[in-house]
Amino acid sequence: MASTEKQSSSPADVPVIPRDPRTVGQEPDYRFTLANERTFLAWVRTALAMTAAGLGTISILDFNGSDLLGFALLTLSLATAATSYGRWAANERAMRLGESLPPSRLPQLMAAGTLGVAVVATVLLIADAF
Amino acid sequence: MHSEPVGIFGPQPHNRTGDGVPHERTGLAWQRTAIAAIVAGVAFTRVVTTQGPAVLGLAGIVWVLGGGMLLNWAASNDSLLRDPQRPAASVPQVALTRVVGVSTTALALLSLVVALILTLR
Repeated sequence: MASTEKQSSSPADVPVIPRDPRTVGQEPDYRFTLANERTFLAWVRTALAMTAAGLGTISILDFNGSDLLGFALLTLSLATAATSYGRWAANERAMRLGESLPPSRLPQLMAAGTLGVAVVATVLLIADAF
Repeated sequence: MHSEPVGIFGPQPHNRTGDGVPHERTGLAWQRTAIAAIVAGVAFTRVVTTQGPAVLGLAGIVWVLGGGMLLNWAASNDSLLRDPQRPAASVPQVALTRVVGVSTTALALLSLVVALILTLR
């Protein structure tokens, strides 16, 4: 039987790599656990796609500002990858404790970031054509 | 009236749940992620061996091999693909999730460093 102990989550106690969430609460419905795992994997794929796109932009494209776009994509990739496991663990922990899923600003950051990259790329390509 | 779902070749097998097959969708998600990891690893290896510090190509090759191992695991994991009734405690792939999260972060960080080297040249 799983422990029902609740752990402190003050900032000082939060490790760089979150602990195994199975140490708290009760087992949730396995379908929720699998859905959380698929969400984590979707974020990892997003990070990998941005890594490939960023590297491709810097090494293949050759117009003024293309390096800037590459760095933007790689920075977004790093932000996504670095938070993916933490988000998975926090969601798993919340489900086990019967709490609300923790909010995240990553979707807004990604939406704003990719929109910014698209707009800047459009402007740079138009400027490069004239 | 009895309305148990019946397919062309007989009753639905027990592992088809009312909301789809979540374990199978998860297995396929692991496979897609492994393929994405292989592609990203090949792209990284190609860039560093042709334009950047070639020694980092070793890290890229390790990444591609890791992606291949992940794909092999995801494609052949019987419990992931066919057994949603297994005990809930064994459902989360905690260690694998942690390894994939940390290594993806490492690849993104390494790619950022490579991009910096290429730009400053």
